[in-house]
Amino acid sequence: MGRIALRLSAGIIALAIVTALAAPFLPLADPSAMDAAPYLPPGAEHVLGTDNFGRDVFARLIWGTQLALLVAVVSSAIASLLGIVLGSLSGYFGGRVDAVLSRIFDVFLLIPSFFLVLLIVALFGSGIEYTMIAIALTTWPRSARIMRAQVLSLKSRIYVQAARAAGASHLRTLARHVIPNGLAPIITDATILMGLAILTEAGLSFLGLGDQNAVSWGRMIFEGQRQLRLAPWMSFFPGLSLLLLVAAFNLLGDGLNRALNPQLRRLAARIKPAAAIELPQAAPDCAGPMLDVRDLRLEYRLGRETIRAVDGISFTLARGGSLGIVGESGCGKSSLGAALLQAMAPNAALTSGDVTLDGEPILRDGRRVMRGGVETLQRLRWTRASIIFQSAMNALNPVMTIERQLRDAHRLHRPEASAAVTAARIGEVFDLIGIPRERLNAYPHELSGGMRQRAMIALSLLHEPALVIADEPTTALDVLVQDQILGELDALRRRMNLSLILISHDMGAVAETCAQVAVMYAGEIVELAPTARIFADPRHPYTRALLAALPSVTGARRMLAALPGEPFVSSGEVVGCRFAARCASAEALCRQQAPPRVRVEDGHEALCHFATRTAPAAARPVPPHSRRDDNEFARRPSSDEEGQRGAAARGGGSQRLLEAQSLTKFYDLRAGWLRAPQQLRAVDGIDLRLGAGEVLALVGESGSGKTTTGKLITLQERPSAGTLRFEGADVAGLSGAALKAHRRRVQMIFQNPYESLDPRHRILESVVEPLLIHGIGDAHERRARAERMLEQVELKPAARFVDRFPADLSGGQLQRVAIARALVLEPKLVVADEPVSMLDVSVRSGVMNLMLALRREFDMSYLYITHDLAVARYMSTRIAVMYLGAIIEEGPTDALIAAPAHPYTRLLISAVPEHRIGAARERIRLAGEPSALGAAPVGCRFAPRCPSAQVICATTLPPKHAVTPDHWSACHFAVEIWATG
Amino acid sequence: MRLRRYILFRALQLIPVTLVVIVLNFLLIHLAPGDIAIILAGDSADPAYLAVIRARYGLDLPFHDQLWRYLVQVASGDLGISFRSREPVFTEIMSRVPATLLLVGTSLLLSVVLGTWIGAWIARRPGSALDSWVSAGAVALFSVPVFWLGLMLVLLFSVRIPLLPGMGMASVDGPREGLGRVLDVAQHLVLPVLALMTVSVGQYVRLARSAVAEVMGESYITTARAIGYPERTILMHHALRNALLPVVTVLGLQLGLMLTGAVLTETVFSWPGLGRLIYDAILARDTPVIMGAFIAMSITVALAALVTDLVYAALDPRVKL
Repeated sequence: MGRIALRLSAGIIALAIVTALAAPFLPLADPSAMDAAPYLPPGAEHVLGTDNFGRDVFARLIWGTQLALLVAVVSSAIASLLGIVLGSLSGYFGGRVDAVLSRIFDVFLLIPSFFLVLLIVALFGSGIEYTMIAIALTTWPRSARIMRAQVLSLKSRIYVQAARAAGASHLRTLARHVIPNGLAPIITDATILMGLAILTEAGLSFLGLGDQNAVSWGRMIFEGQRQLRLAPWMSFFPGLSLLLLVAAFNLLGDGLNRALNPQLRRLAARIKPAAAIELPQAAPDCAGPMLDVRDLRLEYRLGRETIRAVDGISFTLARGGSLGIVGESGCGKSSLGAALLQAMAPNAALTSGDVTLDGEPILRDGRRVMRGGVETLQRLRWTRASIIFQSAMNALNPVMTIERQLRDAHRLHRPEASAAVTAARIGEVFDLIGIPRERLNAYPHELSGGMRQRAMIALSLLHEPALVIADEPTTALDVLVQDQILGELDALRRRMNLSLILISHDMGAVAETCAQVAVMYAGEIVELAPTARIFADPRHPYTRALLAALPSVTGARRMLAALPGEPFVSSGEVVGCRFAARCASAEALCRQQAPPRVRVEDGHEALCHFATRTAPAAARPVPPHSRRDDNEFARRPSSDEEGQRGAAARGGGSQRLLEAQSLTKFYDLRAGWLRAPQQLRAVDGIDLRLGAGEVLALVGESGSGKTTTGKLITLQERPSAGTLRFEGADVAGLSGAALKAHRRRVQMIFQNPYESLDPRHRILESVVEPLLIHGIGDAHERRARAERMLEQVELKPAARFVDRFPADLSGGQLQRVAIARALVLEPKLVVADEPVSMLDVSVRSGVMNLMLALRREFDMSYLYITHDLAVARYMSTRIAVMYLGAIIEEGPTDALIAAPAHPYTRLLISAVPEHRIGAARERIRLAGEPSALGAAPVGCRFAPRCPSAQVICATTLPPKHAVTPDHWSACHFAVEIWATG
Repeated sequence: MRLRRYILFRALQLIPVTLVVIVLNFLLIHLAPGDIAIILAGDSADPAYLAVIRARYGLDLPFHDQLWRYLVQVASGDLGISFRSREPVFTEIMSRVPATLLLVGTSLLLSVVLGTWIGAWIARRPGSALDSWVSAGAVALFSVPVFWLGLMLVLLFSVRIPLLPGMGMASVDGPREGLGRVLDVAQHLVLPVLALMTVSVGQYVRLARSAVAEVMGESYITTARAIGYPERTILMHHALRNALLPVVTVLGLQLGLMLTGAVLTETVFSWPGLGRLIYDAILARDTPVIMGAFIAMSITVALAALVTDLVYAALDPRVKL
């Protein structure tokens, strides 16, 4: 339908253009000739009749097209041009410029344009030029506002920042990256402006203000209105033409919007669910398992494609048991949670499966079960089984208070309960979870991430269900908060004897909390086993690969295995094993025949032809920069531990690559009329030292200031205070050509691979751009260099990737391109801001290994920013831990992790879910959440939450205590903490 | 307390708009070709009246004095004198406001309610045939020239089939007060409201449709389904409350368009409102009335934007007061 409308409207507009251009040449009557008799009805000689002056209506109609189109095109062209220029300037440069310009836009938008046009035309005359200018003058703020909003949002896109970081000028950035990406809504709005212009001009003419001499449809209606009864054709046909032309413009705009805005197309079609099935009444089987799932299949429709997200899942959950479902993106686990409780979006539907919940059947053969006309699941929903969603993304209704949402949920299933009973129950469940009762009247956005998640848990436990499904409950939460929530969930489970299903991508979290683990891949469960067995003796190659790709905090240091290829998406016919394409031990049989479900042992099954084969523990080499391998780091040839330590203490080498002292960045939050100005102390006086060839990991949670530090080092932001020296020279104050030259030596890799590259540029263009900006080589050399770089990041053959667009590549591939772009200038220092955190586990290890290999080859240093201690441990030789803007501990990686000297570091280490089960892990409780930055701290920043805080901690800023020559910590009790390690 | 400060703060923002409008008015008058006195007094004015006008507006004074004088005049409610009726413009405008308010208010209410309801209803199945057809129909509706629609309605229901009156607000010889009058006015209201409403209902249908469709894809709707609320409750209670926010935002901005439509509609139906006043003023080249109407309309739109902001802040708890 959308396509038909688009084609039809384009056709009408094309017809109008042709008519307007051809009018002088068509065999028509003269539109101003008053030859014929007036008020003749439509007939043979005058197809549409004549008007009050005896002029041929049809001829006037055709000629009127010229005026309509002229007005439309000229007005909207002027308005759009003005709007694009002023809107871009306002959005891009911000500050004063924006303050003044956007005020102007807003004021003009409030002025009703038709009246201004009326006034102008009444005063200056009704020539068509005045009309067009008047219309343009009153509509340009629309385009300006749209452009401004676009530019504001695009300014912060990663690929724009990347271009600036590579040294592009403002003009280049605006012209090549910002404006082209922001034009789409302007084009759409331009078509709407055209329709508006036509209607405005017609309205003016209808009121008698139009150009007397021009042939205008509006004027024709004006002349016809007095003789409405006598000669209705005078008014009818011009109006109809107006309707058709304006509707065509509007529909065109609509169609353009849909075409240029792919997200709109994803508002997918609904799948009609299968009819419910009526079963005879029967007593529920209370002795059976809590949840029994057989061959569950779910598919969803996205545009034209149908994707089989869940493709035959079977498992059983005993009463009081706990099952963890693990998988990466695309495995189908995200659809599984909602599917189990049949709460899918309308574009998803269950196509097969038998599910029995709490002894009652709720799904048979993919159809909902009804008993006595009532859907069984409807009865059990929330009262026997509930679900906890990932609350970071709006899982709670933002316009209703928590209390209201709980109350409604309670009333829905217990309509007979009185208000007092409901209130009592709500209070009870809040106490159970540990949320203070005052928070009941808060709205979801007023709560922190952890609190919101707890509110979600409270909601799910409202009716004391027997089964709770936790769907990624801790993703997007900080490590410490994650740990707490998982612990609380576990405690609740034991206390209330709940059955728990935990769906997550985090193997460690699942391993710690669940007795059984199911590994999902491509919509199927490829391995199911008790937790201890999965880690001790995995039988499916995917499970083995996944485990081998996990970096560990305390285990022996081994090189991480990388999984080649991309995750499988099940949409078409499947032949053979779905994992075969990526499996290291795949054989011909695997590609031809789907693997059977092999029962390895009691409670342990795997979907593999060779499940009974035990894999020998693959001897994995030690990673490239282990302590033993000195040549990796020190430029000096000394190879003993002493020399190594000394070199590290002095920053690794005679020439310090990077040295920052008291580096500070404050942001002044805009003082509104009603708010006092506040200061955000993002980075508060840190010292950093990085030697040539070193990898320093900067570890911290969100809000610690680590990303800001990265931006300061790459000079994307200017420090508010402090010094920054690079290879001995002061760089903090650089500008112009010197700054651009400096940018060749320091580059950045960003966190989000999907936004790192300009979506409109091909891969080759993106990689070549830094060379272009710095004028290196000619086109041929640049291309050669870029292709070489692409091969070095393992995108082979380069020819296959150079002409692709970012949308065609996967996350892992995109990040490799981003690395290629950063390294093409052969910088000395690369700042990597969480480069793998948005990638799947199996893809991460590949990228990390690549980064290590490239470091060796190009002899660079890395400042590796991350929140993940395990990753930090894998990648770095030194770790600096940040908290609320300050570095609170720094030391050699292994030493720091083995024996931390700061309570916060100790907490971070303890919060990493350990992959080894049975290893009793001490979980340290932590109160509160990080306090917002505001006034300068009086004592230790961590004191309010520190479990070992004393009086002195709150009153005196702790000095840096060195517990060994190269390991220090900013804590009054550093030595004690370190000793008890 | 904070609410009062917020209202005050937002009300203060009306001042720059008003100032710009007044200054703009003034500038346009001065930039226009012709003798300003004649523009303000009319072509057929006698010399005595011309002198009165010159004195009133201080047309012999230097530029900035004239501007200041004009500003003071407008601020005190003096919008000039209509040279046709020799009445103050302000009085003329105020006397016509009730009729326009009735027309615009009714149309706005009906188009918002109907449009939102239809939009929410088709949003249940985005991408379906019904959705496409209704959306396309909505687009066609707001492409209709409102004056032409008015004329066609008159032709159909007043001329061809003499069902409803096509002129004026009340019958000439009808009842003056009481229920009879109300019914009479209501009968006259039908066609104008139908015309005005039709061209704006399409906007709300599309707006509500996209807002509701987007909201239905949010996580909290999945949560609501999991909890077990019936689909109807989810749409009307959970989704609509969030989807209304963008609708409210647009409402205030659309008032300007509706007033435009009102001018044209009143002209067609001879509805004795502000729009008709402007039309007569245009025909007679009564510039003071056109200027005064411009100021009045601008202030009205600005006020509407303020009210919309307040309503939005009341509905959305995420807005910081």
